[in-house]
Order: sequence, then C-alpha cells, then structure tokens
Amino acid sequence: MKIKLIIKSTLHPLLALVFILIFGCSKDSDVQYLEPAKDISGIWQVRQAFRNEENITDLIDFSQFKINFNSDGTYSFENYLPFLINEEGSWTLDDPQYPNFILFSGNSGQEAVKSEVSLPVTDGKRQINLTFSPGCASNTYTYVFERASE
Amino acid sequence: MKIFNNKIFKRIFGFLCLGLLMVSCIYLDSIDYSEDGAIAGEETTFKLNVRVEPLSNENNERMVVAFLAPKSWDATNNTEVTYTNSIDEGIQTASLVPEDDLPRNAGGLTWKSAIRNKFGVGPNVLNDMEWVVFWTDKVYNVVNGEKITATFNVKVKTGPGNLRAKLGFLINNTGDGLSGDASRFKILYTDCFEVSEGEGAVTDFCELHFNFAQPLTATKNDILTIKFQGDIGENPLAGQNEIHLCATAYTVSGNSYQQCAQDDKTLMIKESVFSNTYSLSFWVADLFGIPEGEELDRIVYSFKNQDGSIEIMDGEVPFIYFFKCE
Repeated sequence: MKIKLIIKSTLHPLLALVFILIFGCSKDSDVQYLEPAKDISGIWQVRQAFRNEENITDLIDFSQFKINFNSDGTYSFENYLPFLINEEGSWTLDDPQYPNFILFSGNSGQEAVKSEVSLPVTDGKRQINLTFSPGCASNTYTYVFERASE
Repeated sequence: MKIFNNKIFKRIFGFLCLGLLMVSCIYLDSIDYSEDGAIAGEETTFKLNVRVEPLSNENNERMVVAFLAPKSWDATNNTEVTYTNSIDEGIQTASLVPEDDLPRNAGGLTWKSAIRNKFGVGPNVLNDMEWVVFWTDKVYNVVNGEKITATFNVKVKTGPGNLRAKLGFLINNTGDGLSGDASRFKILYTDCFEVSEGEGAVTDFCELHFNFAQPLTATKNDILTIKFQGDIGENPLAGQNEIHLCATAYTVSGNSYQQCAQDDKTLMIKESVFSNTYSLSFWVADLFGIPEGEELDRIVYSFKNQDGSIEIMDGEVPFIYFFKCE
C-alpha cells in the first residue's frame, strides 16, 4: 500500500513536468529582432534644464533655443544658449543602435566635443539628455530635449 | 512539542530574536577644532569624539564618517581621515567609501547622495557644498555590552577662497546603513568656521544677506543667478513695484560692460507672492555682450527700483561677484 501511495503521489507531478517540458516552451521564431537605429534628425527644444542638479528650466527662457540635427549629419542652432559647443558643424552617434556618446565637430576645425548621451522614451516621446559644462568645469548642466512641435 | 505552542515561550523567543538584530548605539559627543578658523590653502583638523555601544554581537562592521565641506575645498582629494580607539593599538586609517558600495537602507542611493538627500547642506544657506564619505579600512567584530570610544581626525586642506561655513559631520556604521534610527547615527555641525587670508570677497555660507549669487564659480559662459533677498531686514526697496539689477562686468584685460538700464533685461522676477526675494538668471556673456577673446574678472552690482532713485549696495560699495574657476 505504501509503495502504491508513493508511486501515486509522485507520478502525477512527474507527468505534469514532462507535459510542460514537451509542450510548454515553443521554439524561438526564426525571425531575429534587430534594434532599430535611433533617429534623432529634426528640430529639438529644451524641455528641462538643470544646473548642478538644480532645476533652472523656469529661470531663463529656453523656449527659443533649438538645435537642428539634420539628416545629412550637420547640425545648426536657433537662438543659441550655453551648450556643449558654440558653433555649428557635424554630429555623429558612436553607435546608432545603442548610442552612448554623441560627437560634435565644429566647422572651424576645433577639437571635436564628445558627450555622453541618453535617448529615453518618456510618455511615448523620444528625448535627448545631454550633460555638459559650457563654462566653469565645476558646473554641470543637463538639458532634456524633446522634438519641437511644428 | 507542546512547549513551542506556549504563548509565554513565543513572547520570550520573539524578544530574544529582536535582540539579535544588529544594533549599536552611536554617539558623536563633540567636535574639537580651531575656533580661530583656518588660513586659506592650509590644512586644518577636526577631531570627532565618538562612542559606540553595541546592543548585540556584530561582525564585519565598519564605522562611517561623512564630512560636509564647501565644494571649493575639493574635499574628496584633500581630506585624510585617521582614528584611534579603545580596541586597537595605534593610529588606524579610513578611506573613501567606494561608489558602488551602497548603504543598506537608502533605497539604492550612494552614501553621498543619500546623506545629501536627507540632510541637504544642514544649516548653511548656500548650496555649493558636498558630503564626502569615508569608512574605516578595518572591519570590526563587537559584542553586546561593549563600550567603545574613538577619536576620528578629519584633516582637510581648505580651498583658496575666503569663506565662512558650518561644517558637518555624520557618524554611522555599515550594519545600519542610514536606516534613519536616531540612536544609530549622529550628525553635528560646527559653529561658523572662517577661512581667511585667501582670495576674493568672503563667501558666507552661514548667514543670508541682501545679495545672493550662484553658482559660486563661473565663467562668462555659465548661467548665473543673482538674487535680492529683501526679507533679510528693513530696506528702502521694500514695497517697490519693480527691482532691477544694475551691474558692470569687468574683464581681465580691463574693459568694462555695463547693464544698468531699468528695462526688461535687468528686471528681476519676484520668486513668490509671499516673499520679497527677487532673482535674475542670465547667460553672462549674452547679458553684457562680452566679445570672443575676453574673459571676465568680476561683476560689481547693486539693486535699484524702477526709476533708479533707490539703490541698495553692500553698505557704501557695490556687491562684487568674482569669476573664479579652478
């Protein structure tokens, strides 16, 4: 009786396990998922600005300052405010699919400026977060850009 | 088996379990330091008199010492922490807590961020300060009932500028990790500590003044915020409809650029209907029209009413903001 009880108590879980292993996990699809390249071309404006972690968005008028990332790899400014670089030129991402850095090369030929970049999606909208020191190195600014509404 | 169901046994067992939680009472009894302050650029030492009284056996514990200092001191690179105690022979050392070693009870924040979030800059009125966190190089096993005394020596090289600030010190242990239990950490601030014989005007972290300017270090390509804090005391600008900044920027080469018209560019914004604090933030180079190739030495400024008939300065002279950038 005891042996029968043991067999009965273990048989059903074993059968369930075998069932799950056979039918529970489907094979991966043959279609491979490719991370799309991040497209930041277009006109961007400052949504939020921080100076040394203090929110300064409302302290000055950032609404007129825009940066245009052209699809030909150049960039331009409207109503310039302190930024990573103070002249127009060309831009590149270190990795279009998984970017960690953005490089700005000014038209004057000065040494290119590199900055960490993050491209989060907030409320369904892509943002560009850039941190830099346009003045004294002891001050860090973070601009959170969103696409300018047309 | 029946004894484990006994209510009295459960209560005793529960009490014993509670006692096995890692608990040490920590005391920061006093801070010894020079009341004369320090000379800019020279070292000064703060002695922290600490007691630790474990209420349970604890293993692999480190004491944590955090130090609030002006950012201009670069305390991360200019501070040495050593200590003596009733357990060890000789002088022991402490080191900066690694960034990836997080306190146990701070929700994933680093020690520095968690302490800053909780305590800010203490009683200081300017934000340009930072907490620098050290821990003992040695780990300790302590026993319930032990009475441990320690003296931590925090030796720091002051920065180059004249200032007055209330320096802060926090003592905690890794087993607690900023739980917030007041018996397990202590924080004390010095009185207003003065650094003199240095560069520039005195930056006063201790007390509010009519004028306020941040950040404390800048170049012409920074965004500067200047405030008029009218609630500090009686002043002739109280009740005026508009407050304007009147400023002159002087470059290193000796040129000057003035911005003193009572217009939209200099109009200061009232921060709240409930206060008499007005502020103006601006990109320095843009406001004064500083050309390429010119670097700024200082701004001298005052506050005026709409028609310029009333002016507030630093006594008889304008306020000064020096463009220091190390």
